Amino acid sequence: MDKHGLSGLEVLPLQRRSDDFSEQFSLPGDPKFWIRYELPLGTPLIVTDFFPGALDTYQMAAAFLQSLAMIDQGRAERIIFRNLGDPADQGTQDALQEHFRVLDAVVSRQRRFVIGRETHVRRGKLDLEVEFKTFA
Amino acid sequence: MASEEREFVLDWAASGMWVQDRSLYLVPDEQPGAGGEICVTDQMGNTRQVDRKTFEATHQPVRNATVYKAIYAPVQAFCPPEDMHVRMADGTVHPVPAGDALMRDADGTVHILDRHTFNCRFQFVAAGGDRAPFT
Repeated sequence: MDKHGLSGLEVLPLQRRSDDFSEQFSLPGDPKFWIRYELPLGTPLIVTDFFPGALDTYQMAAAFLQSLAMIDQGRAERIIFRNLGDPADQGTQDALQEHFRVLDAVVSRQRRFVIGRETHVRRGKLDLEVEFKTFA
Repeated sequence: MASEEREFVLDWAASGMWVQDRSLYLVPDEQPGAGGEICVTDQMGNTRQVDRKTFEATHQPVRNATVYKAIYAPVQAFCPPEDMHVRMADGTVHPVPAGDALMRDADGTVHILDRHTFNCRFQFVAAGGDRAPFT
């Protein structure tokens, strides 16, 4: 069974780096691509950086699933994306919509459901909290 | 340089790949309202009202009676490699950006689906042909 939803997706040459505070993923040749998970990994899973760089929505969904699988969090039940930006900025709202598109592709691949999604303002920046569930 | 325009009739048997709707829906265990409608939730948590009889004619429960998936009924899709305009059977002309999909339902109806919905909802089943695979 393809528990991570990676079957048939483009495999990206993600590079993983760890330090005392985080797990980080980059892509050779794409300096703007960056995913960073805060330690300790668990529930909720905290994503502090989520930058697609040159990747399109579906490549970013593949990169996200791949990175989740690499840190053994492929079925994370609650994820918080931190610091999307100033809630009043159009760029932040655009980033939020892109997060939704990526998540749409992710739950479609994983055959899961988003059962809750909320935005919070924390220290002047927008956070997105998403809860997932597998029903079948 | 002016772009070259050419017109052709799409050969669905040769160019239309067979795809299947793979999306899931949550269906509450409740009686439909007076109009026969129920509220279904898609995988991103968006809800909409649908006619229960119509929904159950095209969807089936998965393992339990809460999650439904589309009954196997592949449709044809053509994703243009570049931006184009499509003249429908009724003569209307519609722009189709590269990446969006032209969908042909089993009854021959053709409609345009945006790239995101197509990529998230539909799964490749088989290359083009006159007959849907496994039917």
